[in-house]
Amino acid sequence: MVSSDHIGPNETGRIRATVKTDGKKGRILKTVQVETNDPVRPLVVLKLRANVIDAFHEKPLQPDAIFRSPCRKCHLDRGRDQMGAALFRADCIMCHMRGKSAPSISSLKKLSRERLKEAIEEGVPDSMMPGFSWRVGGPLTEAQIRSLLKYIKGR
Amino acid sequence: MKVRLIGATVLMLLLAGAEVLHAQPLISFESESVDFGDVRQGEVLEHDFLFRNDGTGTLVIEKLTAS
Repeated sequence: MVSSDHIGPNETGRIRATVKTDGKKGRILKTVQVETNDPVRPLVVLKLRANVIDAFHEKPLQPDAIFRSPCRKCHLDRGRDQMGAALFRADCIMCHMRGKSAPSISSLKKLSRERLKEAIEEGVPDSMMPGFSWRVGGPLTEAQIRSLLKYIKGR
Repeated sequence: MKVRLIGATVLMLLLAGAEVLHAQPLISFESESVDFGDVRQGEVLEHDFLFRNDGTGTLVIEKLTAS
C-alpha cells in the first residue's frame, strides 16, 4: 500500500488506496490514517469520496433475477459451497439485515421451522424472496438449506 | 584562555547535538483528499496519494489504517 516505509529528506513516496463499491450506494467516504514519526503531524487522515450510482437496483426485477448475471456476482456466487453462518453472510444478509427490505434474522428466528423452510425453498409470493432450492431452479442444495435453518433457529 | 577554549568546545558540541536533535522529518502531501465524483456500483476505485519528506530527518511510515 505504501511505496517504502522509510523516506529520506527530499525523497517522495506514494500511498495507494483502493475503494470497493460493491453493494454501496450514494455518497461514500473512506479514510486512510497515516501514522509517522513526524513530530509535528504524527497523524494524517487521507480521505476518498465518491457518489456511487446504483444502476443494479434502479428498476424492480423478478425475484429470481438474483440467480443470474450480473446480480449473481453479489447475491449468489459468494455462497457457493458455503454452509450455515458463512452461507447466510454470503447470500442472505444483503437483504436480511436490520434496516433492509426483508425481515432481519431475529424476525426470521421467530418463524416456525416449517414456515422458514418453505420460504427458503420455494420463496415468498408477492415479495422479492425467490425460491432457493435447486428443485425450483435455485442455487442451494438440501444440505445447505438445512444448515441455514439450523443457523437461523439456533441463534 | 584555557577556560575560554573549553567553553567554545562545549558550545560547539552543544550546537552539533542540537543540530542532530533538530533533524526532523516533515510529511507533506500533494493532496490529502480525492473525490471520484459519480461512479457506478461495482467499480473498484484506486488513487495514489503522493507525499514528500520536506524535513531533514528520515520519515518513517509507522502504520496505515484503512476504514
